[in-house]
Amino acid sequence: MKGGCERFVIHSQQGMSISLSTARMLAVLTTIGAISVLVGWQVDQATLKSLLPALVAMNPMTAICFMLAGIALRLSIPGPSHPASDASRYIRRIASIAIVLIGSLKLFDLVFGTSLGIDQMLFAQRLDASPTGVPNRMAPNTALCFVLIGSALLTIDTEWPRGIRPAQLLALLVGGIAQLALIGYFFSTSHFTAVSSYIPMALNTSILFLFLSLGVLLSRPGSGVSMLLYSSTAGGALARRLLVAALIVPILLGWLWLVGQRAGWFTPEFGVSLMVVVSVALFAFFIWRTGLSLHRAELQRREVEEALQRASEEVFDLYNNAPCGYHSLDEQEYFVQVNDTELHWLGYTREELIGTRRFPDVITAESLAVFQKNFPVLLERGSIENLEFDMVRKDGTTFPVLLNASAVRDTEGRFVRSRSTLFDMTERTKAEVALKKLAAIVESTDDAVIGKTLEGIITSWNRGAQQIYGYTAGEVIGKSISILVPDQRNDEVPAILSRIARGERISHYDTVRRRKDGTLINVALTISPISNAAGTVVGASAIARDVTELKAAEERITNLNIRLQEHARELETVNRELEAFSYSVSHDLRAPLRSIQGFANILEDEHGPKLGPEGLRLLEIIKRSSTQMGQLIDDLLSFSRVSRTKLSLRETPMTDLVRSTFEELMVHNGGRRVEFVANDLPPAYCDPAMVKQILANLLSNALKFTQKRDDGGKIEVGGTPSGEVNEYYVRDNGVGFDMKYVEKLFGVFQRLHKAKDFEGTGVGLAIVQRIVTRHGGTVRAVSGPDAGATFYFTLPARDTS
Amino acid sequence: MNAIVDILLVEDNPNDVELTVRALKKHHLANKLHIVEDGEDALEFLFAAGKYNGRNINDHPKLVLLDLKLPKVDGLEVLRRIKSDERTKTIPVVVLTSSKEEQDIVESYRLGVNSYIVKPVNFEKFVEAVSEVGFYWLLLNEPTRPPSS
Repeated sequence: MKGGCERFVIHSQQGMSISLSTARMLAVLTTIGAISVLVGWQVDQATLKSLLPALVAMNPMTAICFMLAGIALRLSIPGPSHPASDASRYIRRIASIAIVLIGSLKLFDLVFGTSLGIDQMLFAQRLDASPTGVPNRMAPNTALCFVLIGSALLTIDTEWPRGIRPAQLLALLVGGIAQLALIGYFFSTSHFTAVSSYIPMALNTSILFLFLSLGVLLSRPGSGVSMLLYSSTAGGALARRLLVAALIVPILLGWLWLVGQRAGWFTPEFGVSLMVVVSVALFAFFIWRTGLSLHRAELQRREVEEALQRASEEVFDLYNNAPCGYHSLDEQEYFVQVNDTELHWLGYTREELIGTRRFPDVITAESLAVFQKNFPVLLERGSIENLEFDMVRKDGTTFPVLLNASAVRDTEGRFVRSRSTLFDMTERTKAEVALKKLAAIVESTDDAVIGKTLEGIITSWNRGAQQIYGYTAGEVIGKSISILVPDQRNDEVPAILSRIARGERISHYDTVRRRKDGTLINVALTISPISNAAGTVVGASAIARDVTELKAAEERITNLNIRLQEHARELETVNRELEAFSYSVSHDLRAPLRSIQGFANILEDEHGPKLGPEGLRLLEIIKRSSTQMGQLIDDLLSFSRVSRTKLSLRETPMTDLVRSTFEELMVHNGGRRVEFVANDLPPAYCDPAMVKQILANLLSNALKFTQKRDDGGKIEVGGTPSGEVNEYYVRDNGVGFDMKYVEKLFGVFQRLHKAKDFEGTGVGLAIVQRIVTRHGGTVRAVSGPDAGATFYFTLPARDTS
Repeated sequence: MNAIVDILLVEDNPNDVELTVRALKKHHLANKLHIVEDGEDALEFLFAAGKYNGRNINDHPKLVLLDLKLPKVDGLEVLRRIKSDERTKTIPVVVLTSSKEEQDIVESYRLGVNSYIVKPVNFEKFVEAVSEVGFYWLLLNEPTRPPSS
């Protein structure tokens, strides 16, 4: 508690030093006074001995004692530059003991009636020749005072509990006795100076005792009784003011009362009453004034305290709720302070950190190495800056921080704690990573990416730029973009820059640029304005692609296209010739066939009997073969017509088309019994006449291959939409075919059945495939021997052109 | 050469000519038949020009059987000339050809043909077709009266 109290006792440094120098001066004055009395005895000079010739002189032994006391007091106050030596401490102790001894011997005489005569040892013959007629002796109160003051000097640095110093109590007692004697002289009465019939204390003796008493009190200003006088507290102020009044007012009033009574101005009773009233009034006034000033001081103090409290709260709030983390570590790396922000980051409570966790407990293993390297640096140099740590939250997740710290040291320069500031770098780290990725992309592209100012000064230059133009970044940054521009295209740069300055973007601008080695290259430029945060265009980014190769490739493609067109024209010509050929086939092959048939018939009609049965059989073979050849020619012509005829596409109701086609087929298959199932079909976008041919071919196939079934067979038609195309199918339960020949199914003149089983030319499915293909669809068949066959084909669901 | 002609047959293929004539004869339709073997002859006959100079142009045949594929002037041209001339446009013309080509059929009708018959390869059908055509145009159809000169 002592330390706690001391904090509020603010000693005035100036007051302390005045006090010490006053004490020193009093010690010296005491010694000088004592020596001058001794000199007075030696030369028998009354003024030196007793100040006033009519008064009692100071006993020489008393003077010796004062001399010793003055020296001892002086030695007890070492100056700031002269600490007390062992010798001075020794001298002081001897002198003090001597004083106590002398005083005790005199008291011993007085108490026990002995005459050891310690006060008669010096100037013995002159002691009795006193002007007052009384032999000069040491007064009893003087002897008591020496015992007291000697003891005080011996115990000057002793301190009892609660700050009480015996030396100061003794000195106060001496001061009281000396004052009593002095007041006696002041009031011209001997009652106060002498003890009963004994010789009174000399005036100079009482003065020197006051000096000593005061000197002892002042010599230890910061402790004991005198502490209060020097403290800046309200109590100190009260003590200083009232003490002065308490010392002076009664003496002054007493003197006035005495003077008034002697002059006969009032009776003793009235005088006492008057004195009481006046002293009450005066003290009341002093107390009121002191109270007032204390009251003001208190109010002021409270104001200051409140302001201090507010400031403290503000600082506390700033500390806790700052947008950055604050903490302090002791020398053992334990947390001693941490703010709310950092606690919030970490997810710990204050109790979980302060004094129980060390900073290394809340960082990752990688960061620990950084910490272990830098904490000693902080202890030694007093600060560390911009360290990056990854901190670990209570839930185990981590986040990056930037840390700055400085050391707090005590007055001796010892490390007390660290003072650390932390910034959460999560967002900045993310941004940095994103920026690095972007930079890597720019650096890795084969295109040249160049930054420039609105004046055309190059500010950045990537690897692609180096590859395309041949310059390194170091060679061009800071130079004008015009070093890349061939002389005949110099006008381009200002034109481009002025468009950029207007905020325009220039896309795929094909031009020519010059490489470092002077060769010209074709480039495609895309130039975009770069704006600052305020939206003002401050520069441009140019992306250039070397299109020299591309240009060459384009030329090759153009040449190829021209040749392709030539080929197409040739093909067209050939196609026309083929058409003419098929046209003439239709005429020229049919005419002789008709002749063969015709004349074979005429032969049979007009000359039949002459031919005989064998001749007629052969004639029949000729007729049948020519009929078959006619059919082949007809089918072949319709197949070629399917390829040549222009498609006339429209939305076609497939269900109706299937029904009408089937009905027409049944006209030519009179009496044929078959189960026909026509499901609802999605409409198709197609050429109805052509698709009708598909259906006719597939349905007639189905009829053909089911004709041998006893039940007449079953034919089913269906279809499902499937996005942009519809898939249709025609299914029968006829003889089917072997899937291993499915590849041959759609070829021209390919037949999987013997002619004597099923007639046909093998062109029908080729036509189906050709028509479906011309519509952009596909056709396939699924079957097995005697398992029936299903033909699937797709057609566009709607107009997509 | 001023005899009245019922049918003018324009056909270059002698086999087809013989088959056609036999088919007509079978049904006694070939009594007043005149045969020309190319388009030029056909036009000269119809317009009474060249070796038919002096023939009365108004003596229209009751029917022209016209093949399309002909030497010198083809059948479509002959048809075009017949149907574009006021004097001859009323003469019934039946195209009798091997061609099933769409373009030939369309073009013939566009030019004003009265019938378009594809010659069947099968002889019985051929005879049937020719005789039906003959019956229709010679016996059933009522022609316009030629203007008297």
